[in-house]
Amino acid sequence: MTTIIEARNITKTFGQEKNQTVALNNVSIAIKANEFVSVMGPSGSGKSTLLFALGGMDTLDEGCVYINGVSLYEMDDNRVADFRRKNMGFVFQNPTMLPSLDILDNIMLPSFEDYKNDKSALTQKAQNLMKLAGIEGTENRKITEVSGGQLQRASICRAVLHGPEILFGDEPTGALNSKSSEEILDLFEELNKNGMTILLVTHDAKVSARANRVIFMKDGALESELYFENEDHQTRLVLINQKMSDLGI
Amino acid sequence: MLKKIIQNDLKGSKLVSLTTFVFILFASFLLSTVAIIAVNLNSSVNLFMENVKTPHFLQMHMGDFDSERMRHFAQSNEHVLDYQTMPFLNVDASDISVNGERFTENSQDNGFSWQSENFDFLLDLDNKIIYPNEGEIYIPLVYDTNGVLKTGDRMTISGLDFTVKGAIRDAQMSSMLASSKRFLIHPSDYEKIRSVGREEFLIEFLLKDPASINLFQGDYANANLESNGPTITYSIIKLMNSLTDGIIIAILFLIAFLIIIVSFLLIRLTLTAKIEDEYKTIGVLKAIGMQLSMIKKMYRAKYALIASLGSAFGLILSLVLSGFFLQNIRLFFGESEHKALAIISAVIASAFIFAVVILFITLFLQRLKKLTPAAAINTGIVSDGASSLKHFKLRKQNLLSTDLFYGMNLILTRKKTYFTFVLILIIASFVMILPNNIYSTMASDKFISYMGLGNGQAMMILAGKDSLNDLNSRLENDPDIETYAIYDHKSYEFMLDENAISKMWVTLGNHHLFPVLYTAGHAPEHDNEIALSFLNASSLDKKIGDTLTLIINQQKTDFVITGIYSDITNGGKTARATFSDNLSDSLSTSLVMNFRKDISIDEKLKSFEQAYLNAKVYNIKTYRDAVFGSTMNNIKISSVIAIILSVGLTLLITLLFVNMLVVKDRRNTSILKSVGFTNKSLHTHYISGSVLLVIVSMIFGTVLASTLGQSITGAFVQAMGVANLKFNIDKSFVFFIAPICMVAIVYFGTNLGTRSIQKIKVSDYIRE
Repeated sequence: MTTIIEARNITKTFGQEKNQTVALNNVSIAIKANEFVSVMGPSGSGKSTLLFALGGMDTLDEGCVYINGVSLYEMDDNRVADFRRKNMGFVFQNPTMLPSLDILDNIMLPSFEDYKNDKSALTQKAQNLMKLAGIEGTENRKITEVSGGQLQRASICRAVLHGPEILFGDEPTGALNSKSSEEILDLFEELNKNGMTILLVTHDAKVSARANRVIFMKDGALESELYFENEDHQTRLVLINQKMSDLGI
Repeated sequence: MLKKIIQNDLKGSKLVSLTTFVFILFASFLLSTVAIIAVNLNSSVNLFMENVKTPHFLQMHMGDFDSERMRHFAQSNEHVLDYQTMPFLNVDASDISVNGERFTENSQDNGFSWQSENFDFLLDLDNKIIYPNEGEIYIPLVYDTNGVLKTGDRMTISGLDFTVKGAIRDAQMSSMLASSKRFLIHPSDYEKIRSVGREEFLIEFLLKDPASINLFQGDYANANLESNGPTITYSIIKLMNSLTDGIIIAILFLIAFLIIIVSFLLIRLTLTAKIEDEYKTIGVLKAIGMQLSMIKKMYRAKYALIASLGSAFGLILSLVLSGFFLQNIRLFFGESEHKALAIISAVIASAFIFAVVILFITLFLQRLKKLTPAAAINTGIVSDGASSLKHFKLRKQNLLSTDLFYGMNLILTRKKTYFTFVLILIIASFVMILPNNIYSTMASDKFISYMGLGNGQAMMILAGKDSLNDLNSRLENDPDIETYAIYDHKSYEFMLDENAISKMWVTLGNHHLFPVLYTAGHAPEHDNEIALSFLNASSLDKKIGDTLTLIINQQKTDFVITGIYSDITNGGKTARATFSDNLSDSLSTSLVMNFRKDISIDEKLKSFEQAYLNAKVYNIKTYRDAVFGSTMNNIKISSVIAIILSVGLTLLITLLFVNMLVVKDRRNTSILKSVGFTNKSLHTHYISGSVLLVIVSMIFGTVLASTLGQSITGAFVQAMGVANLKFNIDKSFVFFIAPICMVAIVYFGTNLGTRSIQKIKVSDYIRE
């Protein structure tokens, strides 16, 4: 498999001088196409910072990030945004929907310019995706008229509607109940089976157990990782918890 | 704790706080200045008119005068306290020279008089009664201030030399709105020049009770006394004296009002943004048991400080600078005797501004009462009402790009937020366009029609009819003249009702050649028809088709009213008819003429001036400029100031508003950035919205300036005799320059205000 995401020696600090915190300390990582990767670590370990850095949504103090061999941080803001729109999708812990649009317009918004001449095809595609995500019938609803789980599924639909190669998730199930979480994770697995590379950040072992690669972070550095192939869910959970315990996370 | 809250609040919003402070300061400054001017003006004018002993009733009269009959009337009338008749010698400018040069000021009737014995005194600049020696002359103050004449000049009237000793304060004729100006000379000098002018009489009465003026006026009319001239009362004299500074008061008050409205909008905008930002925090404060009054106090604290400082500095500024505004009052009327009251009024005005600001904020913060802690903490939803629209869907529209759609969508879903901005833009457009509309209307050729002059190119006024026959034949045979009309101005008695009689100025001639502006009906065509000026028709309560009875050569003759027209000459009360009357005396004769093309009007008029020395010859545009020149100049300056103010206000508000929107929208901006919207797209969202709003606001502002503005201006000039004023707008300015200017400013302001979008990082606002 080819490497789709590559970070080389990335460093990111917050604050100034005495109050400086190192969020990412000389981190290097490579993720192959169609991998389902989970990044775990305690609060403040730098996992979300890593996700934002890999998605080109932050600035770096040092290092570089390549997506399909293209250096993200050498592009200007507008080109990065455009690149992100075409190649990546993002899902955050709390749904990030715009209150001035209904659910279906929210889902279609980033992809609309690419389907200017074939809106009906885009609408059809979005509705199919909504059906797959189990939120059909909410198209015309305001974002305040659906549940948190439904809103998160709509966020995923928006993130994948334009068919990105990579889907980033920052604690995507963090604000959901266990039933909704399972349904979202099922959806991620489904997308991964269809060829999408998925990179999640979580502190929940159950979520990481769905991935086939788990990276452990501590104090802004990559500490260790686990690879899964055919292990059942329970075994994965035991191994993840064991590793966390070994690392003192 | 409040100190800390204020400090943090000010630190976080320096630009907005400073702007609010400046606005409140200006509002306080202007309102305090209005109070100072109003109190001083009232006091100075009252004191001055007391010193002058201004008559309560004044009848100007030209022609024979029966002094014995008048004295008998005055002695027998129960209302009269004192009575006098003063001569007023009208002298043509052509008979006056200054330092050997011809006197140029001929748009006014220049008259000479001596000092009154009992009342209506002419005063010096210390409000002392002046008694000139022989050979000395005192000039109207307005000529001194305009530089027409100055102390030390040598004036020659009909060969008699006078030295200008100073200027006089004249309660009756100082104002440029009064068409006559009074010079003061020694009684024996008056006798020497008497033969050169036309003598008029000022028949003046002081009443025991000024409130009985209407009763006295009725007595005077019923007694059939001399009244061949205008009638002026104490209240009109006071109004004319106060008008110039009164207009300044009105303008300053209007600006203060606008500024305070803009301040309110600004405060509303900033407070809304802040409350929305801190929605959850307010919920938490309520949840932990903090009382609403305390929460309100926290939000009000910063504004209380800004309002108190702004009001105080505004007051200080007005006390320091009010001298500039009082210069004119001091010069024309003297010092006020109520200086302390003026300062107290200024303090009250300033305190009023502070109180109004605090009251506005307190009422605005009432909305926090409805906020439940649960709703605030759970939803954290902003209160600008942003929610999707039922019919305006991205997926259902074909016209707009995604960026333009989103820009429009933001406006439509947050109408309340944008309402304030639109309101300010409408005010700015209105302020920008209205003065220009007034100026272009006054500068247009059509405006001459409101002056009762018709659309001629030149005008001549002859005192009598002596040279008329000669002039008539000359005009008829002059190949350069295309059209001309001769108008005879006479004064006729008419029946007010079955018993009462009054007098009216009637212009006789052909009124179709140079038509004036008829607001109803048409010019008289037959001998039994008459048209009335708007003010005349209003005061007599006459309409088209009604009958008016004139007394012509002791014969009552009925006339049908065919038209009502605008006229600001002769106090706005005139009439027009076509019948001939060679028996009654003429007050004056005027000629209006148009020349053929390629004729130099000024050269032609010069030849008339040389041929008819007793005639006043005017190019009509020059005449208009002489009468309205200074007013037009003031309006032009106001127009330029209004444009600068509007542009400044628009830029400032756009900058602040867009800046606040960007801050408020940080999270949404992060979301849009995270899904791949570029900075350029995000700029487009704001710019498309702003440009759309400024276009809509311009349309509203332009329509309002042409409708409401026209009505306001119309109501103001109606008192002068102009009915149904129609704006003559400068199309290139209103439809091209002003909109382009406003759109460019809003575009520039939005661009500037959205620069910080580039600095918004997705990670800063989305990371949990």
